[in-house]
Amino acid sequence: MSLLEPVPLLEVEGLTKRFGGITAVDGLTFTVAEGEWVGLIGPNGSGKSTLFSLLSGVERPDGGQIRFAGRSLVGLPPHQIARLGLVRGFQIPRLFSSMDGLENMLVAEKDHPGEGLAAALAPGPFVEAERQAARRAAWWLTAFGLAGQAPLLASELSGGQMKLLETARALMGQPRLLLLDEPAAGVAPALAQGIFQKLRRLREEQGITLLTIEHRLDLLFDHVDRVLVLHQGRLLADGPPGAIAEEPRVLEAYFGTAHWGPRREGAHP
Amino acid sequence: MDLTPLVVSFVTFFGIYLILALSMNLEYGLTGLPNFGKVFFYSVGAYTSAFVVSRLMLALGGASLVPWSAEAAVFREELARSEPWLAIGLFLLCLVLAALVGAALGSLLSSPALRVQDVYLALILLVVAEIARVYVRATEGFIGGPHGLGGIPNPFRFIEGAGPRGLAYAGLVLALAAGAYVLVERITHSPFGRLMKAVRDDELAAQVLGKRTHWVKAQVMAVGSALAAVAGVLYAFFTEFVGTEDFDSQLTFTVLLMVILGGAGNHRGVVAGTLIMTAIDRFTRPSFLALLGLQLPVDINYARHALIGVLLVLLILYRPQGLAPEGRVRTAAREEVRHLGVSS
Ligand SMILES: Nc1ncnc2c1ncn2[C@@H]1O[C@H](COP(=O)(O)OP(=O)(O)O)[C@@H](O)[C@H]1O
Ligand SMILES: [Mg+2]
Repeated sequence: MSLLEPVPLLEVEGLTKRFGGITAVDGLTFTVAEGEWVGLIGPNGSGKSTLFSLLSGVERPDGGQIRFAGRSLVGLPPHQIARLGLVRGFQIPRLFSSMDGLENMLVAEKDHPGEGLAAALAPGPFVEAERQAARRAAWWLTAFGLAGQAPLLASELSGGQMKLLETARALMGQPRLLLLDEPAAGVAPALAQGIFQKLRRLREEQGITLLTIEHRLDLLFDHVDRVLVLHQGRLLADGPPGAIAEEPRVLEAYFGTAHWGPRREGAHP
Repeated sequence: MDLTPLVVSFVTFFGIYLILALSMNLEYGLTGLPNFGKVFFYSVGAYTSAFVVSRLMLALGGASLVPWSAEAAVFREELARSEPWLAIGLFLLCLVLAALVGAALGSLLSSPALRVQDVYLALILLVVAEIARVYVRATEGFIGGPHGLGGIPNPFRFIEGAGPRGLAYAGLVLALAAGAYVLVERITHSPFGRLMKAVRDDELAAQVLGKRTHWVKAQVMAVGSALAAVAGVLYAFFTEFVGTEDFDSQLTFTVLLMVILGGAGNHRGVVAGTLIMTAIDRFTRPSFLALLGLQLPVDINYARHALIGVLLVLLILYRPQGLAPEGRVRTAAREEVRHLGVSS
């Protein structure tokens, strides 16, 4: 890296994770610059979701380094990583199912001063913070077309709405780096395009850095600056979408053929 | 027939059970912490009272008697009768101390939750409760040990006549139970209460949103255990006696049933559940029925277990969610964004 290049926001080096005999992530090395939008693709079981779990502290790596904003993340508990500004979504949404849309959003409020036990007993000084959180929650819900879902329990939402609510909730957590695991899965194609447009606008307006897993390559390639391709836990390719789309090894790994066949979504569990 | 003893017994037990059930609702109903050691924290309150009162009253009265002897018990009863403020002061001291000890032990015993799943936490707490009880029963000299310890004088000893004294005490218990209700309602309808539910629904999701969920659990266990210990103090000063047989883990499950019956998460439902369970509990005890002048030719104790069993089956069949649904967390947020239709 030359001196002129800024220090990357995320630096991953030699990251490895084994589950029994399987090496799910195998010596991964890559960086993500501040403000960049990076797409992450790869066939089923190539280690994408595991990588997210390692970055967010949900799983502990067997080897390698993760640096975020100059700090090593390895060994930190998930809540500390989130507070540093690295927030993730899950492939299968993990909502607070017995709570409504508004409550789901409010839980994500970062550094809420009224969230302590003492504040519960004497809420007076913290009412304004709570009101402010509510306004932010309403803003995000509206931005994701979920205003009408605010009073509904998360368990009452459709699959697509759950996915949207999880993305909105992650954004409510004020991420500096947002990891999204197939944010458009289960969402109608027209709406999927809308989600990516929204993410693009967010990045422009708020300077959020994004790392996004997505199987609909056409959708992804329209928006991201760079694509990482995983295959069997290893980094197969790293480059701008245009180059990746031409890369024979990627096509081979992804489709088993060296040409763009009929577009398919990885049949995902 | 004088129904005063009956009313006193019913109201006092209802109040004590209500405090226990509300604390269980905070832990299990709202945070998902299966505190199967509830009776242990209850006994902590009772034994703290027994320890403090048995030693301090003798010291303050200048009597050198064996604390658990019958003479010492009589001495304490007499002292409480002649020195009302001393008796009331000691009672208050016990409430405060027991709450502190309960809170400390509760947060300490929440630490297994850092490592193990809920089922194991439940088992660990259940085992702690049983070991503590068996230990005391087998240890001569530990606050009464196998024989129990009497002479924990009612703070209203100075009131002449068991009836008025009992009513005064029942009123006090009810007032404290009302205070516990206000406390748990406040906690529930706050951002902290929202976080408790989030921990219950999906702890990992809360963690990756930056929430220190272990700390939430430790605090909930501290509050819940402090409440249980307060209930234990109220029990000890009511029966004026502590003994291990009163702290069987069956009580934990009775309290759990009050919560499930009422509707886990809903405190108003838990009040109803506690009322129903207290009625079943009281009206199937020969000692309680004797207050009504009833003497049955059969052992009514068995009816309690049968009734609870039938109730449980009916509950599972017809209202698995309990009498009252949980409801939303009410904070200032709801009125702020009323336009979303969230005010409820
Ligand atoms: N918790 C786990 N325990 C055991 N194996 C796992 C676990 N999580 C993932 N794996 C395995 O690791 C590999 C990578 O999985 P994953 O990261 O989910 O892939 P992707 O998200 O790219 O589809 C797969 O072989 C999967 O079966
Ligand atoms: Mg995956």
